[in-house]
Amino acid sequence: MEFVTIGSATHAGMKRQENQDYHAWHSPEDGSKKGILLALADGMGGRYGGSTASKIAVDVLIETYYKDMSHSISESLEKAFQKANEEVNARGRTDINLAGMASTLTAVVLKPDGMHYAHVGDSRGYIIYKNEIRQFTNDHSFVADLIKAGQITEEEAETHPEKNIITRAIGLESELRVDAPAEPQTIKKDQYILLCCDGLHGVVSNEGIMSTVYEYKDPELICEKLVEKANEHGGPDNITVVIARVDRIGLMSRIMNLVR
Amino acid sequence: MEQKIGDYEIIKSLGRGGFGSVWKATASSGNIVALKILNPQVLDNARVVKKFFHEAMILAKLDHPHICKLLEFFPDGNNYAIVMEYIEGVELKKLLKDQDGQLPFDQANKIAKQSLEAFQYAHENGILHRDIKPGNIMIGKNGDSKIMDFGIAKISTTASHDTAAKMLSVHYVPPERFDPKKEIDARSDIYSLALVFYEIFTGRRAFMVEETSQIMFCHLNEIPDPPEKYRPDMPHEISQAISRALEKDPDDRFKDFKEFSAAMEGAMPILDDSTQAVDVETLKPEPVSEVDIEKKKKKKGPVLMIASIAVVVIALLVGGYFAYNMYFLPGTEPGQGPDATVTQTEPGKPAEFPYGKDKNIMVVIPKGEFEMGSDTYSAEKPVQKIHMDEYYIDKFLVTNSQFQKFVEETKYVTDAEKAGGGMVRIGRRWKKIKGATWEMPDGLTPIEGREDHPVSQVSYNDASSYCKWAEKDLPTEAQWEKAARGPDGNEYPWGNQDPDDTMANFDNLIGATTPVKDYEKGKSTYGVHDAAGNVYQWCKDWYGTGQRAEKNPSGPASGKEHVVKGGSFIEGTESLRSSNRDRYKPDYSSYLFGFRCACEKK
Repeated sequence: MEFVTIGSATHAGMKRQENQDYHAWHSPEDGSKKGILLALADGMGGRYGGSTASKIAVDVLIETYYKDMSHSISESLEKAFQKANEEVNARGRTDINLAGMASTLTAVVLKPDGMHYAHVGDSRGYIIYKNEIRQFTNDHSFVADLIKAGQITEEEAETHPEKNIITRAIGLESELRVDAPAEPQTIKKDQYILLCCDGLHGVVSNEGIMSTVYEYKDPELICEKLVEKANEHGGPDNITVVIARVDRIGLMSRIMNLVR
Repeated sequence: MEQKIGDYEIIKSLGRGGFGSVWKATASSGNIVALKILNPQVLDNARVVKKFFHEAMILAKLDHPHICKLLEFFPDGNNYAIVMEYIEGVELKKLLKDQDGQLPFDQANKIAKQSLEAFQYAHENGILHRDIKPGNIMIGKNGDSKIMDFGIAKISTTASHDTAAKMLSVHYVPPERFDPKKEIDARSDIYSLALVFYEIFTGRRAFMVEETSQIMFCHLNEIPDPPEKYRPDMPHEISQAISRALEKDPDDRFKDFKEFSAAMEGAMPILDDSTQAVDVETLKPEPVSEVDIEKKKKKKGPVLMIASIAVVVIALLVGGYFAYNMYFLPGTEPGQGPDATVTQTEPGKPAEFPYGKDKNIMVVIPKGEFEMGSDTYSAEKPVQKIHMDEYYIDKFLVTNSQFQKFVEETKYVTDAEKAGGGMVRIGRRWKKIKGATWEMPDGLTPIEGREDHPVSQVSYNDASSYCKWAEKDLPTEAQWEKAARGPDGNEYPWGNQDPDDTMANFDNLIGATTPVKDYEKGKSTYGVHDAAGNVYQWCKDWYGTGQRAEKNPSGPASGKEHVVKGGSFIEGTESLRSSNRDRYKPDYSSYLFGFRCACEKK
């Protein structure tokens, strides 16, 4: 039996014809060394390339991550992100129809003894536990940087004319800086880990996301309901949500939670 | 690759620009062209399409030897294609990267002159560039410059409303661009071009930071060093013109490219404008009021110092009299302490050993006299022979990782954390910055990866608490000064010659702290590192002036402020002098303040 229950949902939204998001997860049969990898990507740009970019990003990520022999999970994630970036760039250089495509990419590795993540772009990862919701990824966007530089407030960011600009993405440049912290995060029983693109977090509030989680409890059902909610709010963009619920944790996590 | 866009046969990819991809292609006439594919997906928006065509028509009219010509444009599916003149050559960006240093002066000057001509022409035709950067300046095979992508930034920004992943290089973006309420005009292009000039003349960027938010912060707040600091042989007027073009307020820059060109040629007197900051001397706050003016005039380079807040306080205290508290070190118990681990490295060299809870290496400072104080500033007077008993002092500054251990063990909360932030210098002003704590000293940059740098953004109280935990003490000013300058009253830890970048981290040469073991060449006679530069160091003494006790002085019995010594990574040579001193309240926390521990002979 797995130690987590995973669910997901994706939808083009009410304004777009094409769904350029992509997501997947992989749970290897041979035990827990590499953990379960969840990934979500929001593709963009190119003549026809947005959906290609997100698919390449996720597929290359998963393949490279499980092949990589690095000792640490964060190193394997970093390498897999770099490889995904190379692939998306390479395809954009050879096929004019795919030129200019790019994608966000957010990945989480879950093990009974903790989780790791890696991230570029403005998709988000949240941890929901005991009626609290916390974003554990940093948005790589123009407005997030303006906030950090002390130029605007978070409220001003919400209505900023350039809030759509992201500053890091897979396929944007040959060099990519990835957020991939070496330190694992502890996990707790009954904790939810939620990945989503801006089609959800830009539309449904954090409180709205959390109340849906606690109302429906089952990951698959929560995801469906969240997509519905985003569409009720106009569904301006593609919507994708992936949720993992922790059903039991390893001994190490239990000890760590006790001492914390 | 057999692909076609419109009537153009694609040959190969030329790379990606900020707003799309660029391809080498053949026109039906057989001519080779560059084809740019934009990314916006906005054909449903008639107004935007109209605007695009309007702009592009103007662009197509530009005809100048140093501007890459726009030949044609057409909508293509969900995108736009722009056909441009194909230029064989190399991007300035690549040229700078390959050069890995400064361009030869004549080459830099030629690029500058030709660019200025091109921009002046475009502006006279009502076209702004809006995205000037080395990647948009092509250097042809004959060495001539061609400016690419005029006005494309404008087209693209009016057109996008989707999530757009832009190669948003903010290295060359003017400060007004970060405020949507502010208009962009010719002076914005002037700022960006001046940053390119800065790089081609000096071989380095005006702001040496990489994180996007930090770059934004610098554009908004940091005043760059004058270019001539990094290329002393360049004409003064070019350096001045670049500095003026980099003013934060567009009103303080040149009003157009004609003025900019004239200033670069030295044809325009620009020094009578009081708003500019083009000289190093004017970049830093005024020195403390007690300075001996004559001496200051003789000294070259930036003088002190920390906030102007301090200036006022110091002035008020001049002439104040403090009683001194003479105290002798208590007797020592034989057999205690670290003697067993003392290693006499070489004959004549002071002994060193790890000691205290933090196991920091301590240096034994042998008992004897040393010369304390100087006649340079009245706060440092008088010059006095002082006898010191043997004591130990940390060879290196207390590091972030050591301080972290202390915090983890004791759950200590620093003064800056209690106050919600500490002091950081923003441009020329000092400000209390929210979130500036020892874990993020400037409020922006976390200490991750800088474990071996000195802890900073700590107050006297914080430093003192650490020392207590480590079973040590802060050094008295006399202990600090003797360890720094040795017995003979040297000006600096390494002797009397002025510092250079191999001896100390100072004068904003690096603009941040450096690992505590980096400046081997700058260590003192006794082997103490970073006694000049990197961060200011708290001393135990209350601040006082005048005659000191002759033996083991430890400052006045009471006071309001404690002494800090050693200068910091932003201060000039003057503050690096070992007799230099300043003082701050016990709870004052700044990103320039750290400390080392000392203790009596055990």
